[in-house]
Amino acid sequence: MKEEKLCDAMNLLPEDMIHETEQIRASQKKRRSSWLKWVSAAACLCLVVVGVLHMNPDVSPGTGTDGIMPGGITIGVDDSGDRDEESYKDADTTLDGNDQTEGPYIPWQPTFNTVSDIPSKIETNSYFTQELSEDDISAIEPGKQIGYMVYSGQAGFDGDGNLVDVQLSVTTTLPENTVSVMITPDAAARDYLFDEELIVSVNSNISYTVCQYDRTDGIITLTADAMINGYAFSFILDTTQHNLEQAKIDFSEILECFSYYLDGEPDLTSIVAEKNAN
Amino acid sequence: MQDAQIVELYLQRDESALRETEQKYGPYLTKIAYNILADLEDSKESVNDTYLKAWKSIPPHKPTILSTYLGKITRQVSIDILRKRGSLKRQASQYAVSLDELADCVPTAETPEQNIELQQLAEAIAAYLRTLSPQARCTFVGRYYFIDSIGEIADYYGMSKSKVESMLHRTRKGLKAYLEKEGYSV
Repeated sequence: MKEEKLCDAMNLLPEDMIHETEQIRASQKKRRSSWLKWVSAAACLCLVVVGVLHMNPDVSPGTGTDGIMPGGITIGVDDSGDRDEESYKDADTTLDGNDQTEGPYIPWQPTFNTVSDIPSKIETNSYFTQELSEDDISAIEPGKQIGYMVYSGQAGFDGDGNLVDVQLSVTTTLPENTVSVMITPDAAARDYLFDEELIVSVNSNISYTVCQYDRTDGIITLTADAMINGYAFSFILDTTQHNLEQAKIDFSEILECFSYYLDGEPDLTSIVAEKNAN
Repeated sequence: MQDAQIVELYLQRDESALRETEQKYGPYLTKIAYNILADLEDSKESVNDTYLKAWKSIPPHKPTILSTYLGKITRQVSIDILRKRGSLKRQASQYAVSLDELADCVPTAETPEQNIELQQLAEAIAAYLRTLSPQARCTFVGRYYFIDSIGEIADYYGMSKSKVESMLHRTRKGLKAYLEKEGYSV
Protein backbone atom coordinates (compact mmCIF):
# COMPACT_ATOMS: atom_id res chain seq x y z
CA MET A 1 0.00 0.00 0.00
CA LYS A 2 1.33 3.39 -0.89
CA GLU A 3 1.99 5.83 1.92
CA GLU A 4 -0.03 8.40 -0.01
CA LYS A 5 -3.12 6.25 0.31
CA LEU A 6 -2.67 6.05 4.07
CA CYS A 7 -2.13 9.79 4.14
CA ASP A 8 -5.37 10.36 2.20
CA ALA A 9 -7.24 7.96 4.46
CA MET A 10 -6.09 9.95 7.49
CA ASN A 11 -8.15 12.83 6.10
CA LEU A 12 -11.26 10.70 6.48
CA LEU A 13 -10.76 9.93 10.17
CA PRO A 14 -13.81 10.61 12.33
CA GLU A 15 -14.16 14.21 13.44
CA ASP A 16 -14.26 13.36 17.14
CA MET A 17 -10.83 11.73 16.84
CA ILE A 18 -9.29 14.76 15.16
CA HIS A 19 -11.04 17.13 17.53
CA GLU A 20 -9.61 15.22 20.50
CA THR A 21 -6.07 16.02 19.30
CA GLU A 22 -7.05 19.57 18.31
CA GLN A 23 -8.05 20.29 21.89
CA ILE A 24 -4.74 19.04 23.26
CA ARG A 25 -2.79 21.13 20.75
CA ALA A 26 -4.89 24.19 21.57
CA SER A 27 -4.48 23.82 25.32
CA GLN A 28 -0.72 23.65 24.91
CA LYS A 29 -0.76 26.83 22.80
CA LYS A 30 -2.78 28.70 25.43
CA ARG A 31 -0.34 27.69 28.14
CA ARG A 32 2.60 28.74 25.98
CA SER A 33 0.93 32.02 25.02
CA SER A 34 0.30 32.95 28.64
CA TRP A 35 3.82 31.97 29.64
CA LEU A 36 5.35 33.88 26.74
CA LYS A 37 3.33 36.97 27.57
CA TRP A 38 4.64 37.19 31.12
CA VAL A 39 8.21 36.34 30.23
CA SER A 40 8.14 38.85 27.39
CA ALA A 41 6.71 41.57 29.62
CA ALA A 42 9.38 40.91 32.24
CA ALA A 43 12.10 40.95 29.57
CA CYS A 44 10.83 44.27 28.18
CA LEU A 45 10.75 45.78 31.64
CA CYS A 46 14.32 44.69 32.32
CA LEU A 47 15.50 46.06 28.97
CA VAL A 48 13.85 49.40 29.55
CA VAL A 49 15.27 49.70 33.07
CA VAL A 50 18.74 48.81 31.82
CA GLY A 51 18.33 51.25 28.92
CA VAL A 52 17.27 54.10 31.16
CA LEU A 53 20.09 53.46 33.60
CA HIS A 54 22.49 53.39 30.71
CA MET A 55 21.22 56.69 29.28
CA ASN A 56 21.09 58.40 32.69
CA PRO A 57 23.86 56.93 34.79
CA ASP A 58 22.86 59.24 37.65
CA VAL A 59 19.36 57.79 37.81
CA SER A 60 19.08 54.69 39.90
CA PRO A 61 15.88 52.67 40.28
CA GLY A 62 13.36 54.45 42.44
CA THR A 63 14.76 57.93 41.89
CA GLY A 64 12.11 59.17 39.46
CA THR A 65 11.02 62.75 40.04
CA ASP A 66 7.82 63.25 42.05
CA GLY A 67 6.89 59.61 41.78
CA ILE A 68 6.99 59.68 38.00
CA MET A 69 9.08 56.83 36.69
CA PRO A 70 11.95 57.74 34.38
CA GLY A 71 10.93 58.08 30.75
CA GLY A 72 10.40 54.96 28.75
CA ILE A 73 9.19 52.65 31.45
CA THR A 74 5.51 53.41 31.12
CA ILE A 75 5.58 53.19 27.35
CA GLY A 76 7.65 50.06 27.48
CA VAL A 77 5.33 48.25 29.87
CA ASP A 78 2.14 49.33 28.13
CA ASP A 79 3.45 48.33 24.75
CA SER A 80 4.74 45.00 25.85
CA GLY A 81 1.37 43.39 26.26
CA ASP A 82 0.10 44.28 22.79
CA ARG A 83 3.37 43.73 21.06
CA ASP A 84 3.77 40.38 22.67
CA GLU A 85 0.35 39.21 21.59
CA GLU A 86 1.06 40.46 18.10
CA SER A 87 4.49 38.94 17.85
CA TYR A 88 3.09 35.63 19.05
CA LYS A 89 0.51 35.72 16.28
CA ASP A 90 3.25 36.55 13.81
CA ALA A 91 5.28 33.65 15.02
CA ASP A 92 2.29 31.47 14.45
CA THR A 93 1.69 32.61 10.93
CA THR A 94 5.27 32.84 9.76
CA LEU A 95 5.58 29.34 11.11
CA ASP A 96 9.07 28.16 10.79
CA GLY A 97 7.51 24.78 11.19
CA ASN A 98 9.42 22.91 13.79
CA ASP A 99 9.90 23.29 17.46
CA GLN A 100 12.27 26.16 18.09
CA THR A 101 14.20 24.07 20.54
CA GLU A 102 15.00 21.52 17.85
CA GLY A 103 18.46 21.94 16.40
CA PRO A 104 20.12 19.89 13.69
CA TYR A 105 20.53 16.23 14.60
CA ILE A 106 23.92 15.61 16.14
CA PRO A 107 24.79 11.93 16.48
CA TRP A 108 25.72 10.81 19.96
CA GLN A 109 29.41 9.98 20.27
CA PRO A 110 30.23 8.08 23.45
CA THR A 111 33.74 8.11 24.85
CA PHE A 112 35.43 4.78 24.27
CA ASN A 113 37.58 3.60 27.18
CA THR A 114 40.65 1.67 26.10
CA VAL A 115 40.93 -1.51 28.14
CA SER A 116 43.61 -4.20 28.26
CA ASP A 117 41.29 -7.17 28.70
CA ILE A 118 37.65 -8.17 29.02
CA PRO A 119 36.76 -10.18 32.14
CA SER A 120 35.81 -13.78 31.48
CA LYS A 121 32.19 -14.81 31.40
CA ILE A 122 30.30 -16.12 34.39
CA GLU A 123 28.99 -19.64 33.74
CA THR A 124 25.56 -20.76 34.87
CA ASN A 125 24.81 -24.41 35.62
CA SER A 126 22.14 -26.30 33.68
CA TYR A 127 21.87 -23.41 31.26
CA PHE A 128 20.00 -24.01 28.04
CA THR A 129 18.79 -21.76 25.22
CA GLN A 130 15.92 -21.52 22.79
CA GLU A 131 15.44 -19.38 19.68
CA LEU A 132 13.42 -16.20 20.12
CA SER A 133 10.12 -16.11 18.24
CA GLU A 134 8.97 -13.03 16.31
CA ASP A 135 6.68 -12.14 19.21
CA ASP A 136 9.58 -12.43 21.65
CA ILE A 137 11.73 -10.12 19.53
CA SER A 138 8.84 -7.73 19.15
CA ALA A 139 8.57 -7.50 22.94
CA ILE A 140 12.27 -6.73 23.26
CA GLU A 141 13.16 -4.44 20.37
CA PRO A 142 13.37 -0.77 21.28
CA GLY A 143 11.12 2.02 20.06
CA LYS A 144 13.58 3.36 17.53
CA GLN A 145 14.80 1.44 14.53
CA ILE A 146 17.30 2.13 11.79
CA GLY A 147 16.79 0.46 8.42
CA TYR A 148 19.86 -1.75 8.64
CA MET A 149 18.93 -3.25 12.03
CA VAL A 150 17.56 -6.80 11.81
CA TYR A 151 17.07 -8.82 14.97
CA SER A 152 17.46 -12.49 15.82
CA GLY A 153 18.40 -14.15 19.06
CA GLN A 154 18.09 -16.67 21.83
CA ALA A 155 16.71 -16.76 25.34
CA GLY A 156 18.72 -18.53 28.03
CA PHE A 157 17.07 -20.44 30.91
CA ASP A 158 18.29 -22.19 34.03
CA GLY A 159 17.52 -25.84 34.78
CA ASP A 160 14.12 -24.93 36.20
CA GLY A 161 13.13 -23.02 33.07
CA ASN A 162 13.56 -19.57 34.60
CA LEU A 163 14.72 -16.89 32.20
CA VAL A 164 18.38 -16.04 32.86
CA ASP A 165 19.16 -13.76 29.94
CA VAL A 166 18.30 -12.81 26.40
CA GLN A 167 20.89 -12.56 23.68
CA LEU A 168 19.94 -10.52 20.66
CA SER A 169 21.96 -10.20 17.47
CA VAL A 170 21.53 -6.91 15.65
CA THR A 171 22.88 -6.42 12.13
CA THR A 172 24.82 -3.27 11.24
CA THR A 173 25.64 -1.52 7.95
CA LEU A 174 28.53 -3.96 7.48
CA PRO A 175 27.55 -7.59 6.80
CA GLU A 176 30.54 -8.89 8.75
CA ASN A 177 29.69 -6.88 11.88
CA THR A 178 26.88 -7.88 14.23
CA VAL A 179 26.18 -6.34 17.59
CA SER A 180 25.38 -8.85 20.30
CA VAL A 181 23.04 -7.46 22.96
CA MET A 182 22.84 -9.41 26.21
CA ILE A 183 19.91 -8.48 28.47
CA THR A 184 19.81 -9.78 32.02
CA PRO A 185 17.30 -9.03 34.77
CA ASP A 186 19.90 -7.51 37.07
CA ALA A 187 23.46 -6.21 36.97
CA ALA A 188 24.76 -9.04 39.15
CA ALA A 189 23.77 -11.58 36.51
CA ARG A 190 25.57 -9.90 33.64
CA ASP A 191 28.36 -11.65 31.81
CA TYR A 192 31.21 -9.57 33.08
CA LEU A 193 31.86 -6.46 35.13
CA PHE A 194 34.39 -3.76 34.42
CA ASP A 195 36.13 -1.56 36.96
CA GLU A 196 33.99 1.32 38.14
CA GLU A 197 36.73 3.86 37.38
CA LEU A 198 36.11 3.93 33.64
CA ILE A 199 34.66 7.03 31.97
CA VAL A 200 30.89 6.90 31.69
CA SER A 201 29.08 8.42 28.68
CA VAL A 202 25.52 9.57 29.23
CA ASN A 203 22.75 9.63 26.61
CA SER A 204 18.99 10.05 27.23
CA ASN A 205 19.70 9.87 30.97
CA ILE A 206 21.25 6.42 30.57
CA SER A 207 24.86 5.91 31.65
CA TYR A 208 26.95 3.75 29.35
CA THR A 209 30.42 2.35 30.05
CA VAL A 210 31.85 2.04 26.56
CA CYS A 211 35.14 0.24 25.92
CA GLN A 212 37.46 -0.67 23.09
CA TYR A 213 39.71 -3.71 23.46
CA ASP A 214 42.41 -4.29 20.81
CA ARG A 215 43.10 -8.00 20.90
CA THR A 216 46.41 -9.54 19.90
CA ASP A 217 44.78 -11.47 17.05
CA GLY A 218 43.88 -8.20 15.29
CA ILE A 219 40.19 -8.28 16.31
CA ILE A 220 38.90 -5.15 18.03
CA THR A 221 36.06 -5.62 20.48
CA LEU A 222 33.72 -2.73 21.29
CA THR A 223 31.61 -3.14 24.41
CA ALA A 224 29.04 -1.06 26.24
CA ASP A 225 27.20 -1.68 29.49
CA ALA A 226 24.17 0.12 30.82
CA MET A 227 21.22 -0.31 33.14
CA ILE A 228 17.98 0.43 31.25
CA ASN A 229 14.60 0.23 33.02
CA GLY A 230 16.01 -2.21 35.59
CA TYR A 231 17.69 -4.53 33.09
CA ALA A 232 21.43 -4.87 32.58
CA PHE A 233 22.36 -4.45 28.92
CA SER A 234 25.72 -5.55 27.50
CA PHE A 235 26.51 -4.66 23.89
CA ILE A 236 29.44 -6.32 22.11
CA LEU A 237 30.75 -5.85 18.59
CA ASP A 238 33.83 -7.56 17.15
CA THR A 239 35.41 -5.76 14.22
CA THR A 240 38.72 -5.06 12.51
CA GLN A 241 40.94 -1.99 12.23
CA HIS A 242 39.78 -1.61 8.62
CA ASN A 243 36.10 -1.35 9.64
CA LEU A 244 36.64 0.36 12.97
CA GLU A 245 35.42 3.82 12.04
CA GLN A 246 32.12 2.60 10.57
CA ALA A 247 31.76 0.03 13.35
CA LYS A 248 31.93 2.76 15.98
CA ILE A 249 29.26 4.80 14.17
CA ASP A 250 26.93 1.79 13.91
CA PHE A 251 27.65 0.77 17.47
CA SER A 252 26.80 4.25 18.80
CA GLU A 253 23.60 4.37 16.72
CA ILE A 254 22.48 1.00 18.01
CA LEU A 255 23.22 2.06 21.59
CA GLU A 256 21.12 5.15 20.98
CA CYS A 257 18.23 3.07 19.60
CA PHE A 258 18.24 0.96 22.75
CA SER A 259 17.64 4.06 24.85
CA TYR A 260 14.18 4.34 23.24
CA TYR A 261 12.18 2.20 25.62
CA LEU A 262 8.96 3.30 27.26
CA ASP A 263 8.51 2.80 30.99
CA GLY A 264 8.22 -0.89 31.80
CA GLU A 265 9.97 -1.99 28.62
CA PRO A 266 11.41 -4.33 27.54
CA ASP A 267 8.81 -6.77 28.81
CA LEU A 268 10.49 -10.16 29.06
CA THR A 269 7.66 -11.88 30.92
CA SER A 270 6.24 -13.36 27.71
CA ILE A 271 9.48 -15.24 27.01
CA VAL A 272 8.98 -18.68 28.53
CA ALA A 273 10.83 -21.97 28.17
CA GLU A 274 9.08 -24.46 25.93
CA LYS A 275 10.81 -27.35 27.67
CA ASN A 276 12.96 -27.92 30.73
CA ALA A 277 16.64 -28.69 30.51
CA ASN A 278 16.06 -32.25 31.57
CA MET B 1 -17.70 34.51 17.77
CA GLN B 2 -19.04 31.02 18.46
CA ASP B 3 -18.71 28.39 15.75
CA ALA B 4 -22.46 27.98 15.52
CA GLN B 5 -22.83 31.69 14.78
CA ILE B 6 -20.16 31.56 12.08
CA VAL B 7 -21.83 28.56 10.49
CA GLU B 8 -25.12 30.43 10.60
CA LEU B 9 -23.48 33.28 8.64
CA TYR B 10 -22.43 30.77 5.98
CA LEU B 11 -25.92 29.34 5.85
CA GLN B 12 -27.37 32.84 5.38
CA ARG B 13 -24.79 33.48 2.62
CA ASP B 14 -23.37 36.38 4.65
CA GLU B 15 -19.84 37.10 3.41
CA SER B 16 -18.74 38.22 6.86
CA ALA B 17 -18.57 34.47 7.56
CA LEU B 18 -15.25 34.47 5.69
CA ARG B 19 -13.83 37.34 7.76
CA GLU B 20 -14.91 35.71 11.00
CA THR B 21 -13.44 32.38 9.88
CA GLU B 22 -10.15 33.99 8.95
CA GLN B 23 -9.99 35.85 12.24
CA LYS B 24 -10.70 32.78 14.35
CA TYR B 25 -9.04 30.01 12.38
CA GLY B 26 -6.49 31.74 10.10
CA PRO B 27 -3.39 30.90 12.18
CA TYR B 28 -4.68 27.38 12.93
CA LEU B 29 -5.24 26.59 9.25
CA THR B 30 -1.98 28.24 8.18
CA LYS B 31 -0.15 26.03 10.63
CA ILE B 32 -1.73 22.88 9.15
CA ALA B 33 -0.88 24.05 5.63
CA TYR B 34 2.66 25.07 6.51
CA ASN B 35 3.38 21.74 8.22
CA ILE B 36 2.65 20.07 4.89
CA LEU B 37 3.98 22.63 2.41
CA ALA B 38 6.84 24.35 4.30
CA ASP B 39 6.21 27.45 2.21
CA LEU B 40 4.28 30.49 3.43
CA GLU B 41 3.01 31.62 0.02
CA ASP B 42 1.69 28.17 -0.84
CA SER B 43 0.22 27.93 2.68
CA LYS B 44 -1.68 31.19 2.18
CA GLU B 45 -2.97 29.91 -1.14
CA SER B 46 -4.10 26.71 0.54
CA VAL B 47 -5.89 28.59 3.32
CA ASN B 48 -7.60 30.90 0.83
CA ASP B 49 -8.77 27.86 -1.13
CA THR B 50 -10.09 26.49 2.16
CA TYR B 51 -12.26 29.58 2.68
CA LEU B 52 -13.57 29.27 -0.87
CA LYS B 53 -14.35 25.59 -0.50
CA ALA B 54 -16.03 26.22 2.84
CA TRP B 55 -18.14 28.95 1.24
CA LYS B 56 -19.15 26.59 -1.56
CA SER B 57 -19.86 23.61 0.67
CA ILE B 58 -21.76 25.27 3.56
CA PRO B 59 -24.63 24.80 2.80
CA PRO B 60 -25.47 22.01 2.04
CA HIS B 61 -23.02 20.89 4.75
CA LYS B 62 -23.57 22.11 8.26
CA PRO B 63 -20.40 21.21 10.16
CA THR B 64 -20.75 20.33 13.81
CA ILE B 65 -17.09 21.05 14.59
CA LEU B 66 -16.03 23.93 12.36
CA SER B 67 -12.30 23.76 13.15
CA THR B 68 -12.12 20.08 12.18
CA TYR B 69 -14.19 20.66 9.06
CA LEU B 70 -11.96 23.50 7.89
CA GLY B 71 -8.77 21.69 8.93
CA LYS B 72 -9.70 18.69 6.81
CA ILE B 73 -10.19 20.92 3.78
CA THR B 74 -6.86 22.67 4.37
CA ARG B 75 -5.03 19.39 4.80
CA GLN B 76 -6.43 17.95 1.56
CA VAL B 77 -5.85 21.16 -0.41
CA SER B 78 -2.27 21.38 0.88
CA ILE B 79 -1.56 17.76 -0.06
CA ASP B 80 -2.98 18.45 -3.54
CA ILE B 81 -0.71 21.50 -3.87
CA LEU B 82 2.25 19.40 -2.76
CA ARG B 83 1.49 16.74 -5.36
CA LYS B 84 1.03 19.38 -8.05
CA ARG B 85 4.35 20.90 -7.04
CA GLY B 86 5.99 17.48 -7.40
CA SER B 87 4.53 17.01 -10.85
CA LEU B 88 5.72 20.47 -11.89
CA LYS B 89 9.25 19.46 -11.02
CA ARG B 90 8.90 16.41 -13.23
CA GLN B 91 7.69 18.52 -16.12
CA ALA B 92 11.20 19.04 -17.38
CA SER B 93 10.88 15.91 -19.54
CA GLN B 94 8.71 15.64 -22.62
CA TYR B 95 7.43 12.37 -21.26
CA ALA B 96 6.00 14.17 -18.28
CA VAL B 97 4.51 16.85 -20.54
CA SER B 98 2.84 14.21 -22.69
CA LEU B 99 1.51 12.45 -19.60
CA ASP B 100 0.07 15.69 -18.36
CA GLU B 101 -1.65 16.22 -21.70
CA LEU B 102 -3.09 12.74 -21.53
CA ALA B 103 -4.32 13.48 -18.04
CA ASP B 104 -6.96 15.66 -19.72
CA CYS B 105 -8.49 12.48 -21.12
CA VAL B 106 -9.05 10.81 -17.79
CA PRO B 107 -11.52 11.87 -15.14
CA THR B 108 -9.76 13.83 -12.43
CA ALA B 109 -12.08 12.84 -9.64
CA GLU B 110 -11.55 9.55 -7.87
CA THR B 111 -13.92 6.79 -8.83
CA PRO B 112 -16.69 5.84 -6.39
CA GLU B 113 -14.88 2.52 -5.85
CA GLN B 114 -11.69 4.32 -4.88
CA ASN B 115 -13.62 6.55 -2.52
CA ILE B 116 -15.29 3.60 -0.84
CA GLU B 117 -11.94 1.83 -0.54
CA LEU B 118 -10.38 4.90 1.04
CA GLN B 119 -13.32 5.29 3.41
CA GLN B 120 -12.99 1.65 4.47
CA LEU B 121 -9.27 2.10 5.07
CA ALA B 122 -9.97 5.19 7.19
CA GLU B 123 -12.52 3.21 9.20
CA ALA B 124 -9.96 0.44 9.79
CA ILE B 125 -7.35 2.97 10.93
CA ALA B 126 -9.90 4.62 13.22
CA ALA B 127 -10.96 1.26 14.66
CA TYR B 128 -7.35 0.47 15.51
CA LEU B 129 -6.68 3.91 16.96
CA ARG B 130 -9.70 3.51 19.26
CA THR B 131 -8.01 0.52 20.87
CA LEU B 132 -5.09 2.73 21.98
CA SER B 133 -4.71 5.01 24.97
CA PRO B 134 -5.80 8.62 24.29
CA GLN B 135 -2.15 9.68 24.56
CA ALA B 136 -0.95 7.18 21.95
CA ARG B 137 -3.91 8.01 19.70
CA CYS B 138 -3.40 11.79 19.86
CA THR B 139 0.32 11.35 19.32
CA PHE B 140 -0.41 9.44 16.13
CA VAL B 141 -3.06 11.90 14.92
CA GLY B 142 -0.78 14.82 15.80
CA ARG B 143 2.07 13.38 13.77
CA TYR B 144 0.24 11.96 10.76
CA TYR B 145 -2.84 14.13 10.48
CA PHE B 146 -1.54 17.50 11.70
CA ILE B 147 2.05 16.68 10.59
CA ASP B 148 3.39 18.21 13.82
CA SER B 149 7.06 17.77 14.62
CA ILE B 150 8.18 15.28 17.28
CA GLY B 151 9.24 18.26 19.43
CA GLU B 152 5.81 19.86 19.20
CA ILE B 153 4.08 16.63 20.14
CA ALA B 154 6.46 16.20 23.07
CA ASP B 155 5.33 19.69 24.12
CA TYR B 156 1.62 18.73 24.07
CA TYR B 157 2.20 16.09 26.65
CA GLY B 158 5.30 17.30 28.43
CA MET B 159 7.10 14.08 27.58
CA SER B 160 10.48 13.45 26.01
CA LYS B 161 10.98 13.29 22.26
CA SER B 162 12.34 9.78 22.57
CA LYS B 163 9.14 8.69 24.27
CA VAL B 164 7.09 10.21 21.44
CA GLU B 165 9.22 8.44 18.83
CA SER B 166 8.96 5.20 20.72
CA MET B 167 5.19 5.53 21.03
CA LEU B 168 4.83 6.32 17.32
CA HIS B 169 6.99 3.38 16.36
CA ARG B 170 4.80 1.02 18.35
CA THR B 171 1.59 2.51 16.99
CA ARG B 172 2.84 2.21 13.41
CA LYS B 173 3.82 -1.37 14.03
CA GLY B 174 0.51 -2.18 15.68
CA LEU B 175 -1.40 -0.50 12.86
CA LYS B 176 0.52 -2.47 10.27
CA ALA B 177 -0.32 -5.74 12.00
CA TYR B 178 -3.97 -4.69 12.34
CA LEU B 179 -4.30 -3.69 8.70
CA GLU B 180 -2.68 -6.92 7.55
CA LYS B 181 -5.14 -8.85 9.70
CA GLU B 182 -7.96 -6.90 8.04
CA GLY B 183 -6.70 -8.01 4.62
CA TYR B 184 -4.74 -4.97 3.54
CA SER B 185 -1.29 -5.51 2.09
CA VAL B 186 0.90 -2.94 3.81
